[in-house]
Amino acid sequence: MSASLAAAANAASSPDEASAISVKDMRKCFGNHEVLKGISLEAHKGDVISILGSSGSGKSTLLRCINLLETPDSGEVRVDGELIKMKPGRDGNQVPADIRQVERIRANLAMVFQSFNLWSHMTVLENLVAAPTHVLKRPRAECLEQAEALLKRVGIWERRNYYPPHMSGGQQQRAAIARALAMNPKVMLFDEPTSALDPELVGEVLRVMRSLAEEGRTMLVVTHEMSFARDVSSKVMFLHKGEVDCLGEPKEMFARAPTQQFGQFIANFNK
Amino acid sequence: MGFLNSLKDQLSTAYELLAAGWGLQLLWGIGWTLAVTMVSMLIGAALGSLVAAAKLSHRGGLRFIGESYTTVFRGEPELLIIYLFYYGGTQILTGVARSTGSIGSTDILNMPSFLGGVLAVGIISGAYQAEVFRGSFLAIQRGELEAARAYGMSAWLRFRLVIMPQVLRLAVPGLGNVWQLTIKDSALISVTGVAELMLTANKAARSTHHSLLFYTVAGILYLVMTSISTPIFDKAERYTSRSFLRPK
Repeated sequence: MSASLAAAANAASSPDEASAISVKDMRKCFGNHEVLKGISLEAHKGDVISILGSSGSGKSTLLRCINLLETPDSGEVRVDGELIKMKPGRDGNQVPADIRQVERIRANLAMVFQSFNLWSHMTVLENLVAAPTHVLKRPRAECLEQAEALLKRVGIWERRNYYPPHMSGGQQQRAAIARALAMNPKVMLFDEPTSALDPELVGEVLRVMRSLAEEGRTMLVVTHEMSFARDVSSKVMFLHKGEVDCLGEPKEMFARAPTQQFGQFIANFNK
Repeated sequence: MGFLNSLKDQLSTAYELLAAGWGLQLLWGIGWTLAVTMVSMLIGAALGSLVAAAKLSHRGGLRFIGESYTTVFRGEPELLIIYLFYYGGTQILTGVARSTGSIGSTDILNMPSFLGGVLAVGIISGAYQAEVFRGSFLAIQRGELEAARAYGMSAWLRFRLVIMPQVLRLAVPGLGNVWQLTIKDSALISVTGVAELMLTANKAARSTHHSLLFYTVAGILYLVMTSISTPIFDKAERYTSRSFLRPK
């Protein structure tokens, strides 16, 4: 366990003012397969943490356990200092104690998915205002105004009345990022946002993500984009077989791999 | 030439019979047939969505109830269900009314024929609609439901904003088929005495002895009703699936 990881685990036990997300000793099994073997993670406000790992390392599961799309078997999640309350379930693993609390916290953790997951029966604009008006109960006019501004920002304002299936993958993903921003989230969760895109469309999505990082948004990014991890993120976390293999500053980690596993991992990418 | 003359005679008899009042009665029959079909479809939609929800439930008990419903009501002859509701309903109503003393001990309280009929046809229609709704729900992209959860939508919001609009969109072609089935089933409730198209055609055929004429006319009218509904459902399908068609 590296020193920085120990520091992170330490911080998780005493949530401080600047903590945006704090995960403590999270475990998750699918059947007999233990996907997360006690993971801790601390994201401060403004942190951009890239979560790397080969497929099956548990990185997507970690992200999905933070907003409880998957229920972690054990462990703690705090968002903005608030502990997500859990209670023992029937099979001995924990389940959410208060679904209202979970829904409220999810609204603060906007997620961007690998396969976009825009609502296909709504236009882009409707996709952006659906959750802010119905979940956050903000006035529709205000949401529409914000939605149009966000679509201009991600460069697809002229597609605002299109249905998602009529757009390219890159446009859909930018719309999905705008949908996330429309929630004014405290933290943004990116689950392999460029993995389903044709190579020539990756750039336009990464540019938007880079600009979000530069304006100081708190982001957890599961990705295979080494350039993003190295150049944009403030921390890199490398998962291997369900455990945190190493965690640190991207410049240092990419200059000299702190573990053999991570060294092999980046070597494979540079091939 | 004898054949043509006889055809001419036939046609003028047909015209006279229809003009003498049977035509108007058949029109009323169409009205009742459409009323029975629509009310049955609505009853079926309510039952069908509940049954579909039960069949999709995580709870074994609810799933069993849903499965039993669709198995029974699709597996029994429609006529049997109608008899069961109409005559069975009459027996129950009579029993209850006699025991509370609201009718004499030899009186009979009939099941209202329209109500008994639409309940029976609606329940059958519900079994078919349940399958349509279930299939439509399963065709929704899982990721879209997940996104709805991830954005903090409650179960009700997910249903109202994401599930229901998509189920309706995907269900339109299937519902068109159920609508045709239900029009045809509505003919069976002539046995309860609702003056819909089948009963009217029957009455006309028997009292005028022109069976060939009236059953043919009724057949054509049923065909018109079922085939007019096809373009209407096609149009509805184009509207509800507009997000999947290429923009013009």
